[in-house]
Amino acid sequence: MPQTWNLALAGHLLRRTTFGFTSAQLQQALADGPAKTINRLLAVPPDQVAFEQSVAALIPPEATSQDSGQVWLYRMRNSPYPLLEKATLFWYNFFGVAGSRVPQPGLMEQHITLLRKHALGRFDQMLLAVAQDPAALLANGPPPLVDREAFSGVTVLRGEYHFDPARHRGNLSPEDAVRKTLSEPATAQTVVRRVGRWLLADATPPASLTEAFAHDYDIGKLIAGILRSDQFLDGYRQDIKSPLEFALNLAIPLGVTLPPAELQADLSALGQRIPDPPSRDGWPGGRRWLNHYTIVGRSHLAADIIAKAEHPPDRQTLLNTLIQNDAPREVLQSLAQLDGNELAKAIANLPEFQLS
Amino acid sequence: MAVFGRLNAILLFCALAAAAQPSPTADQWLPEGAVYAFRVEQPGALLDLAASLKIPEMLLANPTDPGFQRLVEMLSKRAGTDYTGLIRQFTGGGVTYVLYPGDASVIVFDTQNPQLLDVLQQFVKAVAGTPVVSPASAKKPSIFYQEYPGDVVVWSLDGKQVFARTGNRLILTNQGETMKVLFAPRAHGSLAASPLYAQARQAAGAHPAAWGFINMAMLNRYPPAQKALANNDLFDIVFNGPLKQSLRGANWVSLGLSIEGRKLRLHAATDGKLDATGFGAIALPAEPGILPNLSVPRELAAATFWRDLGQFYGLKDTLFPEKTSGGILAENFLEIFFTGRDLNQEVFSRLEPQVRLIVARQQYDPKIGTPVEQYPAAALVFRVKPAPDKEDFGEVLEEAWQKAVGLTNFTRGQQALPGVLLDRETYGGVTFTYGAFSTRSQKDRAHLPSNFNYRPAIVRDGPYIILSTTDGLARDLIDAVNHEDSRQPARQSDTHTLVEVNSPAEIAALLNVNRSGMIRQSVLSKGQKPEQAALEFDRNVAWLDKLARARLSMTGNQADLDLELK
Repeated sequence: MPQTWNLALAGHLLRRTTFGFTSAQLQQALADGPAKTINRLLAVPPDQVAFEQSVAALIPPEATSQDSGQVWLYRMRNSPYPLLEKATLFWYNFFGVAGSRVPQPGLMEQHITLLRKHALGRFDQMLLAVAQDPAALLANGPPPLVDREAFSGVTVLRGEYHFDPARHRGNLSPEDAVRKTLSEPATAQTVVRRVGRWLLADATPPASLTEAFAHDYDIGKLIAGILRSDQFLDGYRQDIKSPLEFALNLAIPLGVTLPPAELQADLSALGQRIPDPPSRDGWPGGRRWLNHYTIVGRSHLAADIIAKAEHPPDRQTLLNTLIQNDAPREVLQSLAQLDGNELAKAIANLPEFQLS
Repeated sequence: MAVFGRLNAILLFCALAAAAQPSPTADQWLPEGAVYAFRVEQPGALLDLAASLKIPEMLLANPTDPGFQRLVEMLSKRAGTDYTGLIRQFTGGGVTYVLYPGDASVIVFDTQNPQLLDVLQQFVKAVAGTPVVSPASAKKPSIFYQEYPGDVVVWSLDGKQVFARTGNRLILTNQGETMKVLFAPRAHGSLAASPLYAQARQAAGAHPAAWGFINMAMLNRYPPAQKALANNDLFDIVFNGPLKQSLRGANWVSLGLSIEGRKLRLHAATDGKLDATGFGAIALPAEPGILPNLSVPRELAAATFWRDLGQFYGLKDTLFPEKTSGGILAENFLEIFFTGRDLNQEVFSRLEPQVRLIVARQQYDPKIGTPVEQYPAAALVFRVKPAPDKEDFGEVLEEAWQKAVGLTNFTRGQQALPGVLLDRETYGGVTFTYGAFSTRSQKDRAHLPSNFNYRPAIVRDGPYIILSTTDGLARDLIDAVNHEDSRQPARQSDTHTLVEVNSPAEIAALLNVNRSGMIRQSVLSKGQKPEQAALEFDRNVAWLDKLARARLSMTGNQADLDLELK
């Protein structure tokens, strides 16, 4: 990162890799610098095991996709390992398995758990697991990238996965199909381009990262490489926050606890039902998040979240945490007379806050 | 701080003027115009009851606000008493809570021991006088403390809640402006002198331990209250319609709480009346009156309602002036279930105007297994009127029930979910129909899916029709209705709703079985942390453990809730 590390860049890094951050987390990132912060974001935090144990108790024995979505929203709001959840959401969107197409209880939870297990691990292992995952097969058939023709031996019946090579002569096993898919250069290129779209917006990842990824399929290494690249800063405020990012980017700094069931309904109204992307290509994102209806809806959602803030931070903390005090001078001047919740509401409606 | 500045002038004037007056009761001192009010008139009696139930110990075991607990401990120590003694001295002269429009609330404590207020006042004075030393907290000062002539002291520690002390009285408001109004010269009368409050007070009885007043004349003009009292759906109209109609036409509601040994009685009364041409036509009891509740093993709750469903259906166009697509769909479905019969004359009017509901804990058959999440079984019991045309109406109902089960099976099949298999069984001389899920593919019988909580059943036993969610409860109810039929119990002619909980221990047991599921639900629906939800759950179950029995009975415009405590 050639530019001087400052509050705006620290905010940019945290915005792309977490669902929101407190003032203390932002100041810590500023003090630590980019390298140490990136390492911390990628490392498993010491309280992750305890958090996983507490969340395990929240998953109902016959979790519907709606239940799984709510538990996941709870994780996103409270996880000590936000990059893992953000990467899981990325892969969820990548494979585009809609909960509405998986009515059997438990299967969506299994799918999300599988993605979380591999989200920062090895792509080849994840692809093989998804290729045999009942939820993915029920909703979409063989996953994207995997040769569908080679995979035609797969059948799904009531959530049970069947593959019988003897009855499907000429077809490949899931392992062979995934191996064949990975051998295609387009596979690594596609994955790196999509990860780049998440972390860099419109910028292109360095070619060296694609080459490295085609050899080891190491997702964590790919993400670290992109975050450390010069291109990472080119994406500063070049993307539009999803409704989920918008809500949590506001709730977390304000210390607001959002009931997951309520949040799920609010996000659905803004076009992001968790876990139910509109197609196997996932949510289109970008400019499509915004229209006349969702702009007003976001404003209402922000007002609801801010109304729940019992102890809003002071004026400077709000400006630093929500927009890193980075807005045109006249905009900052227009906020000069505001404080507390009124200031938070005004910031939430600024373009600077809507951008990631 | 501007509010506090204005307070200075007003209090200086008013405190001097008020000091010469004899001390009025809190409701004589507070201004009229309350939305609702609650007065504890015999705090000693309530505290004795709470102490005998060990409620203070229960609350202290898991304090929700450690800071508040430390303050209480400090005050107890300085006052030379314990926690309960402190509350007793603090509230001994009564406690009054009043809410005024604009979300302005006032709490008035009339203490027995003015020295206690001296200790509190000195403590606040010391806090207010402590200089701010931490740069992190160097915000605008929000602490206010001012002593006025005439024994009036006003303070605020957070700039929001404002306290005032005058003699034995401690007043707490949530808005500085409200405190100003309380001490300002009055153009209007007091709360106690307002006619609606006085009528409600009279309805609460001569010496209630505590009583509440709700200003329905005011609330009925408030859109959220209007919405809450509007009738929403069919179920709401049938079961809550009479109560809501009474409240919509009321000016006041009075809630009187009395204590008799270990029994608490909450007597509710209103000046609202049931309209005999509207909901009254379906809910005002007529001869011969309602039968008592049925009783079954492992019962959680039983309820009985005088509801004339035939009359209700006849009035549906009056009660539902707006036809909704949902209502039309429901009507079409009912006509299909009953094969085109006239729903008023040939269906609902065939039932006696009494609906009984029984909820019981399930006993799972070891041969079938136990679900992970255990739901209670519930049943509706009707009695069929003697048919003039000798038609077997029970058979018509059973056919409709089988269509409904078939439709449910069909829709579950669309979602690749298993349906129930219908079977018949003879029990107590009665052959009845039930449906059951197959356990063939279930490997772990100790952790069955939740659909195994349902084994829907329909029973036709003489004039009785039983619609139960489980065959087990259906069998228990066959015993119960046979027993009732043989002894012909007395009916009550004035009650339209009767709800009884005779075994809260069964409810507590069921809640504890589902503890993890309910905590999970709390986390997901309220956003609480799991440990916070667990604490709240355990506290609620502990409250339930204090209850031995509960009974709610409602007549035209009165209701009595009797709580028998352990």
